[in-house]
Amino acid sequence: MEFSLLTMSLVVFGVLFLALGAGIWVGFALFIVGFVGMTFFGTLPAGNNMASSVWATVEKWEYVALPLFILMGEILFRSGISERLFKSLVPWLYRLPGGLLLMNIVSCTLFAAVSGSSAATTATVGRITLAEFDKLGYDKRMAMGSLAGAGTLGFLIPPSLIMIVYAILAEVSIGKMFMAGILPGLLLASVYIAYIIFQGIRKPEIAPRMAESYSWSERFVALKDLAPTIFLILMVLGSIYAGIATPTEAAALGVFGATLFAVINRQMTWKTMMECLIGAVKTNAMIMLIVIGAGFLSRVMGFLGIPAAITEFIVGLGLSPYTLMVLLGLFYIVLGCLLDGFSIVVMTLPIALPMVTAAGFDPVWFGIYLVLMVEVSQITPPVGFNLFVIQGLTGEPIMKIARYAFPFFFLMLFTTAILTIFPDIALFLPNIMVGK
Amino acid sequence: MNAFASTIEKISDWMAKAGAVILGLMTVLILVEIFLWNTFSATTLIADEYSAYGLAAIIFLASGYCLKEKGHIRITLVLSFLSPRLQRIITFVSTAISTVFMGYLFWYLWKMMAAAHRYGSTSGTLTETPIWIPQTIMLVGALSFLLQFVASSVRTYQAIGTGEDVF
Amino acid sequence: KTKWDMHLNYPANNFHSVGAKEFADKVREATNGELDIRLHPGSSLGFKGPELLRAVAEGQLAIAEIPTGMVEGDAPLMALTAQPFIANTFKEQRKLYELAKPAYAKVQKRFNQFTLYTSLWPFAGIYTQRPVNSAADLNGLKMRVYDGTGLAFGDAAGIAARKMPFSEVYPAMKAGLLDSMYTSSVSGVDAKAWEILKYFTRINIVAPVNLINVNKEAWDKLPKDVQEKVLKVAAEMENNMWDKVAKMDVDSVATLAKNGMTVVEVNPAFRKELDAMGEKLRAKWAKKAGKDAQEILKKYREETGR
Ligand code: NA
Ligand code: NA
Repeated sequence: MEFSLLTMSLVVFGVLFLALGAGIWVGFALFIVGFVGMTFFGTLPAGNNMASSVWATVEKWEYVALPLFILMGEILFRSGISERLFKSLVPWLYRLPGGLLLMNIVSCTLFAAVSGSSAATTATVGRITLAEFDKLGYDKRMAMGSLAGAGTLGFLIPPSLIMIVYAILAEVSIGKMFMAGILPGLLLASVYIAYIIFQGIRKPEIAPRMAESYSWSERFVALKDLAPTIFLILMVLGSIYAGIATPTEAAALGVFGATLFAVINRQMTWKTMMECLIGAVKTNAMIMLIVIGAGFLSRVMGFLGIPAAITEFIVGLGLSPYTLMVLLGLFYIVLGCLLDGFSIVVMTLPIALPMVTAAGFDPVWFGIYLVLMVEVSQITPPVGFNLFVIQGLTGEPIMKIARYAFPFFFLMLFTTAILTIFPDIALFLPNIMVGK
Repeated sequence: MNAFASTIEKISDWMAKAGAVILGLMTVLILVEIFLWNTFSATTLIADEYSAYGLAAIIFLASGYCLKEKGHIRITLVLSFLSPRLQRIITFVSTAISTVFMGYLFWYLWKMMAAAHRYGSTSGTLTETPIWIPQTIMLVGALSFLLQFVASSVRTYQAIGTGEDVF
Repeated sequence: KTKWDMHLNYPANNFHSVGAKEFADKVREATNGELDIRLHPGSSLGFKGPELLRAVAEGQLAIAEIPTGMVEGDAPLMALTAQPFIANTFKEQRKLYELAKPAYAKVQKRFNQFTLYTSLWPFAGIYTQRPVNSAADLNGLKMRVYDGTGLAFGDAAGIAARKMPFSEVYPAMKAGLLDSMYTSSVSGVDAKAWEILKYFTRINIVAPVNLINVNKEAWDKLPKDVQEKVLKVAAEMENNMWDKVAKMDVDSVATLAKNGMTVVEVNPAFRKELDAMGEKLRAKWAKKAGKDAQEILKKYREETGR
C-alpha cells in the first residue's frame, strides 16, 4: 500500500505530540514514534534497525566530549572557583551604573568559557551573586532577570555541550563551532551590559551603592583571583587551537585542570570526586537518551523521505532567506517553550539543516543561530532550565522569574537579528583561525 | 512489592557507581593519550576506540539511576492541567508503555550482540577487539535500565493509591 | 512494485554516488518502475562503515554500498583489495578482484547477500606539508587515517596514525595536531587539499573496491524477469565504473597540480621499500584471513609477479 507523505507526516508528528504530551520520556517518545513510522510505513524491520542505530550513536568517540565537559562542570561547581571569580571582579564593577548587577553578566561570561552548559553556569554563578544581591538590597527583578539571561551564555561561549551535539550531527568541526561562538557570545554579553547600565542610570535604586570602596592597588591585587579561570580557559580552548588536543581531549584536560584547582583549594576528596563522577554520568545519560532516540527517529525519517520532501516543499515556496529565518525563529521560540535545548536541536536538525543550507546559509553559522534559539528556550516558560535553576536557588515561582527575564528574551532576539544580518560575526574567527 | 522495587533501586545505584568509575578511567586513558601524542608522537592505539566503548557503557549503566532520580526529561506540562488522580494514572500508563518498549529495545540489543558473536565480528582496528564484549557491557546497563523501569512502574502504580508525587 | 533504500557512504556529488544514481535510474527504466531504488548518500541513514555487512545480512538494509576496507572486522578476507601496496596499476587491481571474486562470494553467502556490481577508488597517495621521498621520510608523520589498513600501515611505517572524523581533520592540521593524510586524488580534490597541504605523493597505498551488495531475501522476493533486468544493468555498471576510474584519477591529479599542489611520483628505490612494507603487512593479514586468502595471493603472484 502506498501512503502519501502527508499521511505519514501527520501520523508521525501526531504520535510524537501524543507521546510527549502523555509525559513519556522524550528519548522514548522519539523511539516510539520511530517504531510506529517504520512499522506502518517502512519496508524494513524496526527492531534491529533500532538496535544498530543505538550502537552507531553511542559508540562514537566525538560524543565522549559530553561526559567529560559535564564532569568538568561538576568539579568546578564544588571547587570554589566562582567565589574567587566574584571576589576579583567586585572592586572593578561596584562603582558603575547598575553596579554589581554587571557581576552577573561578567562572571557568567567568564565562567561560560570553562563550563559547557547554561544551567551549570547559572547555578554556579547564581549561588554566589543572588545571595550577595539579597544582602545589598538590590532589585529582585533585575537580579534574577540578568542572571537568567547571562546564564544562557554557557551554551554560546565555548566550550558548549549543545555545540558538540550540533557539530556531530551537522558534520562540522567541533573546534570550528567553538570558535564561532566567541564573538556572538561577547556581543550578547555587551548588549546585556549596555541594557543594565542604561537601566542603572535611569533608576539608580535598582543597584544601591556599596559601603566599601577600593583603591586601585586593591583592584589589581584582586585580579589574582581571576588566575584559575584564565588558566582553565587556556587549558581547554588554548589546547585545541595550539594543536595539543582535539576538542574531546581538551575536555579531559579541563577535567584535569579543574581537579587540580579543587585539590589546591582543598575542596576535593575521593568522596567528592565520586559525587562529581556520578553527577556527570547521570546528566550524560539524560542527554544521550534523547540523542539516541533522535538518532533512530532520524534514520526512520530518512527511510520515509520526510526531511527531503519538507525541504523540497519549503524551497519550492521561494521564501527569501530572511523570511525563512524569521519563520524558523518563531517556530523555535514556540518549540523552546515546551522542550529542552538538546531535544530541540536533535529533533529538528534532520529537517532544518538541509533546508537552511539549501537557502544558502553556512552550517556553522546556523549552528550559532540554533544555539541562540536554545538559549532563548532556557528562559521561556513553562520549560526553561535556567528558570528551574533560579527557582531552585530562590524558591520563587517559575512564571515570576520568567517575567523578570522577559527583557533579556528580547535582547537575545535582537542579538539574533544582528547575527542574521551580519553572519560574519560568527564566521570571522573560525575562518581566519581554522580555515574554511 | 516494595522490597522488590527497593532492591532494583539499589542495583541502579551500583550500576551508576560502576559507570562513574568507567568515566574516571576514560578520563585517565585520554590524558595518557594526550601526553604520549605530545611528547613522543605516539598513541595508545586504543584511546578513541575504548573511550567510545566506555561511553556506550556509561550511558546505559547510569540510565536506570537517572530514571530513579527523575533526571530523564519528560514533558509534564499537559499533565499538570489534569486532576492529580488522572496525572498519576497517565504517568503509570506512560511508565508501563516505556517499560514494554525498553524490553523490546533490550531484546533487539541482545540479538545484535548475539549476531556480532555469531559472525565473530571484531573492531577491525589493531586491537581486534571482539565487538560482543563492549556490547555485553552495554547490555548489562540496558538490563538494569529495564529493571528500573519495572520498579518505576510499580512505584507509579502504587502512587495512584497513595497520592505520592510522580513528577 | 518494490522499494529499496540504498545506503551510500559518500556525498551525493561523489562519483560513486553519481554512479549509484545512474544505476538506480537505469533499473527504474529497465523494470518499468517495478524496482524503485531510493538513494541515501552521505551515510545519512546513520549506518557506520564497519557494520555494513551485518546490516545487510540482518535485513536492516536491502541494498548498500560497502567499501571492502571497512568491513575487515566482520570478515578479514574482504580487506584483500584494500591491502597496502598489493597493486600498483588499475590493471593489477582488476586482476586481483577477478581472482578474489569466488572467495568474496563465499564470505558474502555467509552474510546472506551478494554483489550486484563493484566500483573502484583511484589509488590513494599521501598528502603532506613536506616532501616525502623515502621510507625514512615517512617516519614521524602525524597522519589522519580512517580504517584498520591505515592504522596497520602507520604502525609499519613509523607514522603516528590516528583515526579522526573528517570534519575535524582540517582544524587539527591548521592547529598542528596532524600534518598529513592519505586518500585518493579524487577525494583530495573534493576536500580541496591544497588549502592546507602542499605535496601529493603517489605512493598508491590502496585502491579500495566498493561493493554494491543486496540482501538475499530482498532479492528473492523480486520476480524473475525483474532480477534478470537488474543483473544486466549491474553488469554494465561494473564495466562503466571501472573504466571511469583511470580518467577520474588523471583529471583529479591535474586539478590538484593546477591548484598549486606538488604532485610527486615515487622513485624506484622508494617503491621497493613500499613494496617490501606491503609484503610484510600482507603476510600478517593473510594469516588471519585464512586459506582462501593465501591461495589468492599465491595465484596473484604467479600472474603479476607481485
Ligand atoms: Na560554555
Ligand atoms: Na523554554
